Amino acid sequence: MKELKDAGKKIKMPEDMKERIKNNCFSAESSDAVKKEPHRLDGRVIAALAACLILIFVVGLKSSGRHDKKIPVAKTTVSLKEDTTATPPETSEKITEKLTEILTTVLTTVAKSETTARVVTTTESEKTTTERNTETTRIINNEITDPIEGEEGVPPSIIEITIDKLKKLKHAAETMTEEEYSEYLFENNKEFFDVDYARIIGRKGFLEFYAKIENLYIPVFNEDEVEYSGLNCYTETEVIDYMVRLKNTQRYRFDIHFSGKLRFKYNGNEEFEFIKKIETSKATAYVYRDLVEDRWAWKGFAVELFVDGQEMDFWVGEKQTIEEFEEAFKKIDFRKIGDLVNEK
Amino acid sequence: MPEIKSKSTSSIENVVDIYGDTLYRISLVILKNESDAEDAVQETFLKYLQKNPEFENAEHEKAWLTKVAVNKCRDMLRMRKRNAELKTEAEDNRNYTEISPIIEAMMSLPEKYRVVLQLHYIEDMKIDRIAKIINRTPSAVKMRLQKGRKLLKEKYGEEFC
Repeated sequence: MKELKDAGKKIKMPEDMKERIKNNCFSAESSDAVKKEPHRLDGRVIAALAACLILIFVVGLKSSGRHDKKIPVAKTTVSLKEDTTATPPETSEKITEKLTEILTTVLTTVAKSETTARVVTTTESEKTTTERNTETTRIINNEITDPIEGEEGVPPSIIEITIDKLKKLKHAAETMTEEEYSEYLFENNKEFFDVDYARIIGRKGFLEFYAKIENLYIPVFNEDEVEYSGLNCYTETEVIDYMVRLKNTQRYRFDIHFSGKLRFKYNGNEEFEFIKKIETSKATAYVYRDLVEDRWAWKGFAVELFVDGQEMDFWVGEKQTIEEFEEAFKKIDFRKIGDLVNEK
Repeated sequence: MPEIKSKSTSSIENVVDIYGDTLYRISLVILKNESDAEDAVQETFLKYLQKNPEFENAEHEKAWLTKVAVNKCRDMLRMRKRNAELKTEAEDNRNYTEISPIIEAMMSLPEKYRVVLQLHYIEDMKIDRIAKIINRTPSAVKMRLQKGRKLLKEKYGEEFC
């Protein structure tokens, strides 16, 4: 990426533009057009306090029941088969064992490594419901794979909804007229960042949408999983279906920490061998268990390698079987590590 | 008599000199228009004057300014979407002085990829810092970098990473 960096650094703000900006800043300051704000509490302190308040609020709601005003909108009844039991230990151990085997076998085969794997596993199911609900959820609406003419470069419409944002929007939709609601969204566009869906479907539409999802468990998932899940939602129905499907899914994340030495021998047009120290690195596997169909799916497998202080990461996207993961992992180009090396 | 500048005036002049190029590059990459980029940078520095923030170090200051600039640019992009006339005008005026083919290729990528490529490879920002700036998780940033590199490679058509 040196070429990109060098080319990028050549782009500089024109001098006349710089002078204009400086002059405008001087003018603004001297005319009191810019009023300085007093220093406030450290943002991190505020964020921590807010997080505590939200947690208390959510826990309080869960224990006291909902007191929301009833809205006369149609409700969708969703039948769910929910399995709240934890994963049997044997399955968890088998998965851990298999992942460890993959790492050591593949790394040994591909890189002739002498690694030792210290296995530490954590699972998403160990998190409490409260912790899940305070995390950000994300629904993808209209994931645009091919840019629509005139919108190239504009990101797809993504709803980022946290529990508190949902409730705020709901309160606004309940107490405002259609026009006031639209204005409210526009004026608070920073807070409801990218909540285009709420804007598009309007006040009444949002209330109907909220009524459908309020009884659903809003699962925790991050952008990585949604991007690579291949689940593109184009309509409101698909959004609901996606959330229902996620509710029927138990998510697990396995982290395997490992460190040691890697001896690389790459046979291609050139052959070289070197030994590199792998600092504490991590392999993470995301596994989904579909409760309805009672099957397991490997969602993603990421490896973070720290070699001589340099971070290199690899991601193998969604695969259906462990064998497919092994194959994909073997295809990772470890020559990238070789680029860091001056030894031959 | 030498011109005596007030402390704050010297500061803003200094800040523009130090960070102007970086903020301009970032704004240009997002907005793809020199005039709009100038507006975004202008607004960023005005916010700097208004908020009068305190920083732990230069890196913190750079990250703060970058975040404001990125948010401003995204506001402007959303405004373009809302106002079809503005969008058309901006697209007609989509211009930047001569840039290299690899930058041209990067500019053709979707915004979410070119922003992280810009911040990481050109502005030398660490992943954790970028994550805070664009309000995503570090692993999401890594994902975008990986996909961005892949797309850039396809567009530019050469081995470069």
